[in-house]
Amino acid sequence: MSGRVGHFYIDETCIGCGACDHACPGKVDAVYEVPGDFLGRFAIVLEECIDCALCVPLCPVDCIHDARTEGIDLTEGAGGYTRIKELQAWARARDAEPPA
Amino acid sequence: MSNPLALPVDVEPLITSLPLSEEGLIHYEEQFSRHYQGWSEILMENHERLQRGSYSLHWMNTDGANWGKRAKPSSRGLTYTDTNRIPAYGTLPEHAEWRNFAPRGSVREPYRERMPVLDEYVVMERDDVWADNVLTLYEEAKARQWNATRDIPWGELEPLPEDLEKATCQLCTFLTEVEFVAGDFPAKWLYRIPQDFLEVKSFLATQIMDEARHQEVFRKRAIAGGGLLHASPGFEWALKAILEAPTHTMGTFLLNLLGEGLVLSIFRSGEMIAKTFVDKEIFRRCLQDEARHVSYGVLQLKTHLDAAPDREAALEQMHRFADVGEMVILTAFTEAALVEPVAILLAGSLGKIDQGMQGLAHVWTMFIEEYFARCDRAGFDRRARSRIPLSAPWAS
Repeated sequence: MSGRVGHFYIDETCIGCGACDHACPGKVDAVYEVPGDFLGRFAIVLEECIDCALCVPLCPVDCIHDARTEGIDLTEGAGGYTRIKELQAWARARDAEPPA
Repeated sequence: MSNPLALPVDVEPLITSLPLSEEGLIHYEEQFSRHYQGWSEILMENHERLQRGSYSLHWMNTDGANWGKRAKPSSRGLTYTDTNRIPAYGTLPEHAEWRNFAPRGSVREPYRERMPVLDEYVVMERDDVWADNVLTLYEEAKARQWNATRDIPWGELEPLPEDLEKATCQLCTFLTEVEFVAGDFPAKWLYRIPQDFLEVKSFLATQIMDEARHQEVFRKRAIAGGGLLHASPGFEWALKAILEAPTHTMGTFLLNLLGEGLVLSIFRSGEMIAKTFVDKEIFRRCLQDEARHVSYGVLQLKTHLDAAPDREAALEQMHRFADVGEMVILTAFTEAALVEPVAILLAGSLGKIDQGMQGLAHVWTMFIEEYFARCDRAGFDRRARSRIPLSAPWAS
């Protein structure tokens, strides 16, 4: 183990298409589907990522970032694919209501 | 030329009890017995050679072939990406010339003049079908196939109160209806894309399989729970607009990027909409398939626009198409047969439908924002031009 880690990460706007999964070189295989995530999103194991960036241009929602140049922001603002959080918040409030 | 095999050049009508189209059969007979003669010349040559007891063995000649350039598998197996590392096999033409089935990378040039031409292959420009993620999406699609008969725990389907069961079954009726076009559209174009773009054809074949499974699973869910409910004219017009789009890129935009995007938004909301574990499992599995289709649609539009010789003209053409397409798709998204059951499912009962409409307003905004984000990624800014309201019409 060299102790080196990669710098690419997938933010929460991933839609789970998996294009990045098979772009990752087979011997590296740093991309994985987050277990138990209903939205089927993917993540990158930093200890295995080799910073090749092959996955980046294949993403349809631009959710793969290089932390060295773009910083780390897992939430990626308030638009687009983060809107589901508003629905989730509404559903939590719905579920918290006492039964009639 | 003599006819040593006594070929049936003047074919008599077949005697059959099958309800064949007589007109179609006569046309076929005429084409292949009177007008097309390439095949009969080849057949006669073959027959003469075989009668002489002579062998050709021309196929062992590797001149012009790429013989010995062996593909090496990666640790995942042997993918198209691996075979395409050999330029002779992996270089896609910008403009396809072969309107037949001769494989890209095979020895085909010596036979060009004797090959038939398939008039149906009309999508000859690579950038009208290509997307940079099509190879990896194809691998992903194969890895994630599932079986709507076996992989859904149908035996655990719980009975629901009548209002929720009817709402679920109506939503499944809508989804069955729309999944039909999601299979028919790629099928229509698969048949028009020449073999040189085989990777795209392979991916579209997985999309057709995915959509067959989706209509199957939603049909089964409805019939297992209560029954199919109402088809809807509003859905039908949206589906017709997709199927009759004038180009592959335009139709892919309307189906994969917009229409399937809408369905993806519904599936992504599945945790809040589904009322049983079985329904959640159905949404979860369909969501992953749908994401691949959306993903292809986004990068296909990007490829098309990036490669356009006159980008502004290409953008304007797409905008004109989207101006109409968005409104037709919106017809489906405002249908009572979709809006009301989703609102009831979100709220938890028919009695709380008003509350559900508030939740559905979030789904509306989510769908529109996700759609605009996809357009942005493709380099197609619809925000200024689109007439779809950002907020649901019932939300003040």
